[in-house]
Amino acid sequence: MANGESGPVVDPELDKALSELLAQTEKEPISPRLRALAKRLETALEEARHRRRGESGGGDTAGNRR
Amino acid sequence: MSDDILRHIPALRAYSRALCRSVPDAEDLVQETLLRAIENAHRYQPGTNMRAWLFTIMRNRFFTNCQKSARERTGAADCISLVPQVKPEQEWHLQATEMRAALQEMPRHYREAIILVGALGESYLDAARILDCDIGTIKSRVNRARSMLRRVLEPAL
Repeated sequence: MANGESGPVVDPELDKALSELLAQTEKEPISPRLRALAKRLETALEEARHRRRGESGGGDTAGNRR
Repeated sequence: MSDDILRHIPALRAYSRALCRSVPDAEDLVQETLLRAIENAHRYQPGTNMRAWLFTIMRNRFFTNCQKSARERTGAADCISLVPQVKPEQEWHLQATEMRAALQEMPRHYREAIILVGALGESYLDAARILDCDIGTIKSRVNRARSMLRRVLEPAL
């Protein structure tokens, strides 16, 4: 759950009920169209990563680490 | 290293339904989001929150669509004004539950906040970035949304 900054209000019962909304979408099938788009995005991200490595001479320094 | 985009699809669906409130529109929005992400893949910063990045794209796309709809429809003040035109059977299919009904009733900015933080587990900080507002506003919206839901659901919880 939200482990936010400076103390989130915790409401486990309510958040559990809300999480069931996500559980519902997890049960739904993913269409071939969505699967194809997801695959295309993975490929595009991989290509962007390679380009970035090429431009920076091999080091991957972009981005704010989580 | 490869990104597993498929695992984000359920969360994208959940958030798109918080925005659109109609399953067909929400499914279209998920597709549009992935297409926009493909076009802008070079903008993603490796190591940052991929799901939050996709949520941001989705939200921007949603509001672009709203503006387009408003221009095309005479008298359409905003996207929310279009909601009553959605047929009941098209609405999010668990609407019958009290939780879903309560979410449907609350203003969109509260619904977005509670879905992102409460249902999807985004941090306040990432939710603030996605919704383009400050963290105090997010906390306030989440607390307000929780109060609304709890008031409706109190007997069940």
